[in-house]
Amino acid sequence: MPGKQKRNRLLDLMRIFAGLAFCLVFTHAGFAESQSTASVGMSARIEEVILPGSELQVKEIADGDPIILRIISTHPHGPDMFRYELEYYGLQPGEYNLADFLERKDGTPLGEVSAVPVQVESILAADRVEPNSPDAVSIPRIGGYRLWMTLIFVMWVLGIFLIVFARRKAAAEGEEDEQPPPTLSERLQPMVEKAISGELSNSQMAELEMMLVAFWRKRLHLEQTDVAEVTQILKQHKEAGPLLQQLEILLHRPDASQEVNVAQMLEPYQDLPAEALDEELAALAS
Amino acid sequence: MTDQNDVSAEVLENTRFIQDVRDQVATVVVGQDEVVERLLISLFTGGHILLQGVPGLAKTLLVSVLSKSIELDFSRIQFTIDLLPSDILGSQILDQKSNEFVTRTGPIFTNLLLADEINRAAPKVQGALLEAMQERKVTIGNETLSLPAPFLVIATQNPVEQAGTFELPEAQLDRFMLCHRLNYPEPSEEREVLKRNMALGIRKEDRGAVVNTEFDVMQHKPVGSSEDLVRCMQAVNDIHVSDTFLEHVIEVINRTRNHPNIELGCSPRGGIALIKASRARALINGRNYVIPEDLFVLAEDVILHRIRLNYEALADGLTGQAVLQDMLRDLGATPSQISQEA
Repeated sequence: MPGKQKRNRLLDLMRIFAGLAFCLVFTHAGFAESQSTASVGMSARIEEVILPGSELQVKEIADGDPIILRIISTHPHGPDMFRYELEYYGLQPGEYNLADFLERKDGTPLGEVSAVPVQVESILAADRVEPNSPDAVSIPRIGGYRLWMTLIFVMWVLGIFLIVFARRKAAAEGEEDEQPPPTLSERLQPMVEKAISGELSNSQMAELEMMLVAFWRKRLHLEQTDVAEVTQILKQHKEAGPLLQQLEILLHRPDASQEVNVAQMLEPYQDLPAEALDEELAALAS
Repeated sequence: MTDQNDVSAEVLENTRFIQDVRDQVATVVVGQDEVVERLLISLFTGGHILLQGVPGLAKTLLVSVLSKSIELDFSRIQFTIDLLPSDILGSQILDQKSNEFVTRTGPIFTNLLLADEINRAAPKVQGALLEAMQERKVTIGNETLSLPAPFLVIATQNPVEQAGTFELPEAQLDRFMLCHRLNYPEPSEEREVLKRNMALGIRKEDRGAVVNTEFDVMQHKPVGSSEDLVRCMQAVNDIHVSDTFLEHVIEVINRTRNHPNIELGCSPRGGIALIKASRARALINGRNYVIPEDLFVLAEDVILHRIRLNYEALADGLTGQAVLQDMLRDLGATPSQISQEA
């Protein structure tokens, strides 16, 4: 039965070939028949697009392209073929070949590639007026956020400089105007003059008395001594003692029998140089 | 001329009386001349005094001998936490025979009252005492009774131990004319105290014997009477205060109110106390007029308890005494605030 077996095998091969041929023809015919259609602006997908040659990619989009194409996925499909899944957006109505928007990834010419036709339809009425593209306008030079921020920053820095400068100037002027406080000797002399001429009020006489005590306290280096002890020490002193005694008679004692000669009492303090006490103390310290 | 002689005789009498009191006190208490002077100032001006010092400085003995020297009544109250106002002032009790309430007066009804460790009592008790000090009257039940004259409170305060004490508020401290800080005796005085104590001896009592104390050897012979005291009080009132001295007082008081380290300055009562105390000191020192020395000597006792330092001064570790001393040293050395304001 070898002849029968050969014939059966041949018949099988023929059936397989016929089946494959039928499938190819039917698939191509079916694909050609089911041309993809989409309205303007809406996406559409096409699957199982088998294109020969090396792998393809989408060309760079140029202004005015009526179609925006994307490759969703790419799979090898037998020797020197690839199967693609494509997505596209039609921007203008019309019939297009998606293959026109593809190029070889390896940079070789596209060559003979079967067409992938699509149709983009418009759902708007034919008499609809298309909007005009907006005219380009120039940006105003002033008024920008960045400009304003820069201006505010500059003003802020200037303000700080002005404040610091003004303060320094005021301090410098203050230092120039500020005079050292009058020394005890400087304050004592006019008071003594007034006391001799009888122009001092009660409160000024009280102040003069305390100034004289302070003067002697300084002169005798009793600044740190307890104030209660100071008067006791001054009373014992050969110059300060009589002075305090006379002040006591003049200012505190009622119906005192003896008169006090104010001019004579204050004579040693009348022509006191302004810096006398300070110089004297400085000399003692050195 | 006759008037002049009378005045001189009166001054002499006052001086003798004061010296006799000092001598009598000195027979029992060694040293402490300063405290005796302050107590006499209080007595002559009717101002209460607060003594600050550690226990054992013969405060009670001092007051006791002072009262006996002038024939004055003397009471002592030890202040404790559980003391009640009625324990000091007195209370009304029911007489079972007559079935009526009768007033029983407390120890406050005396001439000299030693309020020992006043800060140990609760504020309510302190308040009752200080109210009586101010008004010199006590109300028990519905009855208002006047306190005897002279009435003088000598309160003591231990400045060291502060646990379980109630600090006297400024308003109550202000009621005390003087606040004197007692110091320890000098070594020579200490020696004399120890010698005297060793010589006290013992005395027989019942079938045993007890050691004598200073109170036992104290002479009960008075050196003066209430007439002497009244005469001295009148003399204090006649002491001349010059306008210049008044200006000094005003200046000092004003400076406490404007001092950068002082939060609470001296009250007007402080100024009044300063003049009163200066007058009494002048009398004790045989003068009929006050001088700045009186002010300087008494400034701490009159002013220090009436001022309060501010937070900055306390943070700098300053004391009231140091601030006051600085302020007094500034008198004359820096321009007067009064003439500046004028």
